[in-house]
Amino acid sequence: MTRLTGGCDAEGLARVRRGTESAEGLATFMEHLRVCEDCWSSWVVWRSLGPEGAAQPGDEEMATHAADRTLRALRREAPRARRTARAAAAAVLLLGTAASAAVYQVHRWTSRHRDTTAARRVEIAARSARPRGATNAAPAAVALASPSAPPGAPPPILRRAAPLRALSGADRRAVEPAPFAAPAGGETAAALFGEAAALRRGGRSPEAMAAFARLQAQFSGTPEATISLISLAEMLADASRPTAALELFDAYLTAVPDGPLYPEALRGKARVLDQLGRGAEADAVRREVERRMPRSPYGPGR
Amino acid sequence: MATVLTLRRISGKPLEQSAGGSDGDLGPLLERCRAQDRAAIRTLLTSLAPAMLQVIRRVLGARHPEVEDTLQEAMLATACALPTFRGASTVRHFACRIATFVALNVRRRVPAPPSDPLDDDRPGEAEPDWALAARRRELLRALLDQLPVAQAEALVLHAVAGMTVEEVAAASGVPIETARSRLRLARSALRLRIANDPAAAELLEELP
Repeated sequence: MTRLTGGCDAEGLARVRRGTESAEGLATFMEHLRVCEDCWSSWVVWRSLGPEGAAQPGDEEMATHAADRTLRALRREAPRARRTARAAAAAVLLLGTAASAAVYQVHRWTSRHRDTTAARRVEIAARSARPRGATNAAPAAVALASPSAPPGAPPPILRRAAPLRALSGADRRAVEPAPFAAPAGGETAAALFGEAAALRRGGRSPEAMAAFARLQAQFSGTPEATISLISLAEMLADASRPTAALELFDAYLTAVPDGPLYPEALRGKARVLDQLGRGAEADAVRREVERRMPRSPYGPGR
Repeated sequence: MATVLTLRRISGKPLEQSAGGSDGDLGPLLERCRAQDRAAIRTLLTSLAPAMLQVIRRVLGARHPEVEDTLQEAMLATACALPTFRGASTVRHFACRIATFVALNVRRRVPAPPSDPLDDDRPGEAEPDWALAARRRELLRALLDQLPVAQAEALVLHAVAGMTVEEVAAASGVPIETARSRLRLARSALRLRIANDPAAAELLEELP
């Protein structure tokens, strides 16, 4: 027998099952079954499984018994559900408190150690970039003054780092600490760097520049001193001292050619070259940034 | 008490005779059930039991040892789900859908009992009608076991519980087209099974 397949929306079976189909409709439905696969499939299932649903003796007792057992199970479930809800609420509360505390701590830690962390990255980069055979030599960018230098002698950084030697007297005075002070007991490069950074954030540029210079004098060779070259250069650029800033940017690029602040150094160098009226060189530096770091914050279109 | 008696009159009917009707005076009873009135819950479950038992027996088989436990499992699931019942379908269809779902899963979880020795073929003798009917039932239940649960549920609700496609959709909480699609896929699987098995085709075509 060939039947049509698929898509029959006739609900004849439901009407027949409910006894709402007329005698004529019933005959039509039986004829329909001969040609409709969909209705025939449902009819087969109904005719085969339907008779097994008949009520049996003892059904009422079975239903009562099952209902009672269900209620007992519900009674057991209810306290458990309440306990679960309370535990969930407590967990949410605890998690919320812990998350708030964590966010607060992270915020504090970030604000306190942001620059220190960057300095550590610089240290790693500086160590890896140090030339072979120069393991005992300090990086090029170190101190502006030395405690062991005789009065009037140029500080070691000015002997080793040629670009810094070009600082004019006024620029050097701007970055040199007026009276040299030995490291205070317990003072560390990180603490001094943090102090200088805080002064800078507070808008106290002269004190900040002096602190950065003291950092380079007292902790030459540390990553904090190296990274402070960028800070100092940016502050000099802000103070319209482009020549000194350019020297310090170059000093950083020489000390840590592939350091993490390389984009900032190049960006700052381009800026001060513009200030110096050397636009072509500034454009060349910007193209270098775009070529080497197209996805950096200073790349194209940013 | 009047509510309970009305409920018993409605719910005590075989499913196919009341499947298309409303829930009558179930509204107040449902409200009491949602308020965790234990007497009301007991009344509702007892009243829904005949319709649930029908579906469970048709899916599992009347002699399946898990019928009573399945009924209780379905009752518990219904009682727990009552707070989420929004009246998209009748509460009887809601309960039948839960019973179908539970029974289908019990069939997949608990192996079917071995067939009655009397159902075995006896060479040389014509197979009696009741044995043919038993073989048809096993064939169709094996098909239900193989279908995805959603399709099997749609087929059972439509063909076994006697719901229209719209009622299947409402009870299952899915759009009508989804219910229709599930039903179509289930029927296609049945037809494919028959097409690939001449013995099954002969068995089902001989359906009186």
